[in-house]
Formats: sequence, structure tokens, C-alpha cells
Amino acid sequence: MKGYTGKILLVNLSSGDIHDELIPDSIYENFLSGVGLGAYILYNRIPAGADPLGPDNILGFVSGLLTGTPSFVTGRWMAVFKSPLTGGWGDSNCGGTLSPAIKQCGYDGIFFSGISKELVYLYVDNKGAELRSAAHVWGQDAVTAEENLIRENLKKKKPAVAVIGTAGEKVSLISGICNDGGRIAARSGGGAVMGSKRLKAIVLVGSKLIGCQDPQTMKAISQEYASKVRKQNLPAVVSGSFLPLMGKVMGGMKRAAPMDGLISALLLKRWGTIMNNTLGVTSGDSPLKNWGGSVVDYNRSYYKNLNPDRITNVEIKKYHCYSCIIGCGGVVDVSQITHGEFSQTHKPEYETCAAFGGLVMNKDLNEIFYINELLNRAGMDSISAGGTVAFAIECYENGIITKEMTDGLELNWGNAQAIVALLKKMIAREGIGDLLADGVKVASRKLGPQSSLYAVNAGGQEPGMHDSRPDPVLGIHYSADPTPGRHTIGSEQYYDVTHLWEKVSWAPNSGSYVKADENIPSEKVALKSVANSCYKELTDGVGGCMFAMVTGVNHWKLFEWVNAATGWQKTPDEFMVIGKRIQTLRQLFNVKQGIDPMSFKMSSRMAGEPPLLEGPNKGKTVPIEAMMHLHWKAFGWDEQTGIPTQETVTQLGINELCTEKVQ
Amino acid sequence: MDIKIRVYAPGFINHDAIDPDGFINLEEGDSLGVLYRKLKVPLPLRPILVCSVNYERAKLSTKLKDGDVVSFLFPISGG
Repeated sequence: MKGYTGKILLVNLSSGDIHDELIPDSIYENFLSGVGLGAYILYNRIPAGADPLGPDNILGFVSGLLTGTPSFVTGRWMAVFKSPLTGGWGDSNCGGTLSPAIKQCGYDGIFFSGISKELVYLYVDNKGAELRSAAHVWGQDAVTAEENLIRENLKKKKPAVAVIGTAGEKVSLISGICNDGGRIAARSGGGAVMGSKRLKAIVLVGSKLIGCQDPQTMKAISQEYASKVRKQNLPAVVSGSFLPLMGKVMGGMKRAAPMDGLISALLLKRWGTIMNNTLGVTSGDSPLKNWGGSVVDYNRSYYKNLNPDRITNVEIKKYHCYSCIIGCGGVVDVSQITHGEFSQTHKPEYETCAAFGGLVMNKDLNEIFYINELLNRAGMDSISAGGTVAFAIECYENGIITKEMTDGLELNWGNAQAIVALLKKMIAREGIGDLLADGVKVASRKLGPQSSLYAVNAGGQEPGMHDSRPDPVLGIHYSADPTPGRHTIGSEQYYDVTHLWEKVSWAPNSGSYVKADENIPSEKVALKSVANSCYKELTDGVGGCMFAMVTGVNHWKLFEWVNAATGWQKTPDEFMVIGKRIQTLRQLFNVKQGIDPMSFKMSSRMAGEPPLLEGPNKGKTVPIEAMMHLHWKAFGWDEQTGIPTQETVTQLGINELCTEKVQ
Repeated sequence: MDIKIRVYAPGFINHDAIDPDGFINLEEGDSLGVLYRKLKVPLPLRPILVCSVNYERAKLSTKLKDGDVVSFLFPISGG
């Protein structure tokens, strides 16, 4: 074996047919596994104009090429599908324990087409796969359903389960797919696709071995990486109180420079992503008050309540995802906080804290804990839910949504009880919740053009909790990636820590530079964003975690690991061609589905139009259209339209590899 | 004799002494404290900046060698 299994499982939910399909080595060598394999399958097999909630959509669960090999931090899985939220390519990414379970069943991916007549789940073990009735778990939240499915399928090995909650069952376009007790592959509306297929869950109980060509070399690389990460520990004297000051210093920097991303592991080990809760507010990274406010609004009297120490003080255990040595996960005790309704919840991620903290002007941390578990169980994307709630509040403030429409809820900034009540309506699709359950773009269309200013989105997807105004390259990825609104694709900050230029011949060396230069469209900035995109697709093709990616190519040695796993002898430049091919195929998917790439341009507020008048992002604007054009040009796509050129398609060999030809 | 040190320093630290490839020249026997002075790290920040030498915690008195990597803590937001 070469890290990958060479096989996928195809399930036709309409006919009930289930069979294996062998995938040639050449596909892995040109697309890797993970999102690359997913792009290859979906681009060729989903017809143009397919209804994302119809039988022609294909939902895939894919593992990474390195998952299960002696590599580290390569345990991510991805859901791939045509997104009902954006109308184009959709993928969402999650950790936990599901990724190796897919390969231990003997497959690199499991793909569902059609729509089941009955409510079903898929069960897979070493002997094969079968559809079973899910009627008894339909209507249960994701955590409860997972527990029940594990209990009824437990023999020798604990099953790994991916499941939708009630939000996915009700086809909320901002619902995701959950695993491991409320972790969620949240973005792009995968939960709605799964719910539309009447597929409640997949239950995986395989135990097949995952092989690779050169395990000794892989282990040596892994041991070196682990040794470095283990040594990164924050001195005990450093508390969360330092973080706002650190953020203020970061936000005021006039210069930037490449940094050593490995060192940031010590912050993740101490706090996880919540290390950005207060730092992000003072630095300008966190969008506040529906992207229209600043730290002047969400000042210290607010953000001090989100000090990450307050969260880790109730942390009862830490955990690592499969193959991870950083370990940013945790479980917190919320039994005293949630009046007994929930006993525990996953430590809320920064995204959730920010979406239900500064974005909606809430300072009640206890309600954030409650919201975290509520949304994890419902299987609803907390980023999109927070963005939608912020939209609703601003509409309420401006009289577009009335108290009559909310059944008496007073949607004021920071009214945490009203926010919780509104979320419950969204999950249940009751009253105004039905209008809001599909995100801001759908809601705005229904409320009328006067609401569009408040519907902050890129291509229909609510953006992540990272402001593009201090990091314009983030804005490029929000707008120009085939999955718009994603904060995990790339940014100037991510680029500066990956150190791609030390291995990839065409990746620009950041060097030390004036920060304001990031706001000037240039070919150098475009090359950085392209390099970042390509490398992120490789990361998603191997099952890598973004937090490992940002420790840098000299530490988390993706290229070397893949060569050792597969026996290939590719150079970093050759790998980046694979990344470019995957990204180009994702873009071609969108073109095939009728997407105008420029329509994914992010909302004007995200670009600083009009600019903020206060705070660290005061006056900052992002010349996003110009940057999108240069990004596309640097990719070898048409500079004006964003459509991959025939020349690029030919260079990448896409027509030779794919059954669907680009004319 | 000159020694060459790789430095990863955040933007608020003076980069004049760091070459475009991220290296700085010191003299053999120089300590981390000498590096801090050369980078003009503000005095109040020196005790609290988290810094490692070859990915191990180091004191200002730690002697540097040719090829050492000095990395300052800098948070990366995301996720």
C-alpha cells in the first residue's frame, strides 16, 4: 500500500445499490486523496445544474492520503458535495477519530448519490456495507443519536460515527455533519445535503490495516516533529490576561515578517483556539458588531469575560484528535452553568466564542457555553448561525424585523437570552427561525433589498471570525476560493509562517515588509495567495490539520511524508502542481455549475466599504476586486472572469485525467 | 569569528540587523541577551518575551552558536 487504499465505496440511496470501485494509482498521483479525490469524483459525476438537495448531488466522506500512516497531525476528514448554500463546490473539514475509520473500512472515501425512500444510516465493517433503518434515531440530536448508534453497533471495536442533528434533518442550509460527540464539519451546508438524502449517519467499524511504502522514514520525520512540539510549553506565569496586550501590539504593528509557526503550538496546547478570544478583539482580527464595530464598542468591560482562562478553568480534560501531538481539544464541565440541561460540552472554539461574543455584542460567557452545546447537538454551523443572528439583530435595530415577527423576542445587541431563543427557533424552523435557518443571503432575499447591507457574506456563506481588513490576503481567499467565506484556506499571516519559499521555487520570500503593502494589489501578493491555496489543497489532500500546516514546511514535512508513504520521488514544486490541479478542478466544478466567480466577492463591509472610523482597523480598506483579478491571473485562470484557461487545463492534464472534458 | 543566527522576530522588533533571508551575524560567544540588544528589543519587553533557541526555552545568558535558530512567540489566529 502507498498510504491510500485505492478503493472507494459507492452507495446509491435511491436504488439501494452498494459497490466498491477501484481508483487507479494515477488519480492519487495527480489529485492525492481527501479533497483532491473528492474533487475528481464529484467534478466528473455531478451533472451541470444539479439540485444540491436532489438525487444528482453526491455527498462524499473522504479521508486523507497520510491518514493512518506513521505521520502526525494527519487525521482530518472532509465532507465533499455541491453546496446548497453557495451553489458551487462545497467541502467541510473536521478532526476527531472519523478519518482513520474510513480507511480502516478499506476505502479512501464513501460517496452517496440518490435519495433514500426510508430514513437510513450506512453501516460498514470488514465484511461489507449495508443500509439500515434510522427511523429510531431520526429526530434525535447529533450527540444522542451518535451515542445510541454506537451502543447498538458495539461489538469488539467502538464504532466511529458521522451524524446529522435536527438542523440537518430539517435541511437547514447552515447545518453540518457531526462526529465525536459534537465536533462538526460545519461549512457549506453539508448537513442539509445529508438530510435531503434521508441519511442520518454513517457507522464505521472496520479494522483493516493501513500500509505505506517506507514507514521507517515516516517515523523518523514524525519523531523529529514530535520532539520539537513537545518542547513548546508556555511558562506558567503567562496567563490569559497578557493576551489583550499582545493583541494590541499585533494590531499596531507597522511591519510584518516571517515567523516561526512552531512556537505558536504552545498557545494551542495551553488554550486551544480560544487563545484568540481577547487577543483578536484588541488586534482587530475579530469582526465585531456584525463587522460594523470595533474594540471601542466591544471594549474591555465586554471582552474580559471571554478571557480563555475562564474557559480552561472549567476544562475537565484535554484531548487530541487522531494522530495529533498538539492537542488543542478539550471538554468543559457546564453542569452548573446550563442549569443541568447539559453536563459537558466540547471546549468552545474561538469561532463560536467570537460569533456569539463580539459579533453580536454578547459578554455572557455562560450563554456561549450553552449555545456551543445547543449548536453542536443540533448540528448547526456556529459561524453561520452567529452571522445570521447578527444580521437579524441589525435588521431588528433598523425596523426590518419587528417584535411581532420575532414572537416578542427583543433582538437587541448583547441580549443573550433572546439570542438563545432565536437559535432554538432556527433549529426548529419555527416562526422567524424558518426565515433565518438558511443563512443571511436567503433571509435577506426574503426580507427585501433594505436588508442586504446587513447580510455579511461571501458567495452566500457567512465568513469566518477573522477580519479581512487587517489581512487583505484573507479577503482574497474569502472571495476567490471556490468555497467562499472560508477562513481556513489562507491569509498573509498563514503564508508568513508556512515558509513555502524555502522549498517551493516560485513561492515569494516574504522577508520583512511594511504591513500597509498588503493592501496594495501586486503580483507578489497574488503569488503568495496562490501558493497558499495550492499548499492548503495539498494539506486537505493528505488529511492534514491547518494548525500543523502553519507550523511550517521545515517542521511539518508534508512533501517528505507523502514521498515516503507512496514511494513517489516528487519535488515540492511537483507537489504544488498537484495543489494547483486540485484547486483548478474545484474552480472548474463551479464553472460547470454555472457560478460566476466574481459573484463570490465578499460583502462591502468586509472590504472596509465604508471604512471603520475607530479601532485598529480604522480607515483600512481592501481593494478586493483588483486582488481577485491578480489572484486568478497568477493561477493561470482568466484574469477577468476567474475561469481556468484552456492553456492551464492542458498544462495540468485535466482533460486527460477526467471523463468530463473542458471544452 | 562571526556566527550566523536565524531569527524569527515579530514586526514590532527592529529588523534592521536581520538580512532579507532572516539571518543575523553575531560574534562567537555572544548570548541571547546580545541578540536582544542588537534587535533593539525594548527593555520592558525583554523579561516577558517568550523566545526559544533551537525550539528549547533559553535564558538571556544562553550562549548562541553558528546555525542556531531563535524564534519569538507570535500567535497565529484561526479556527
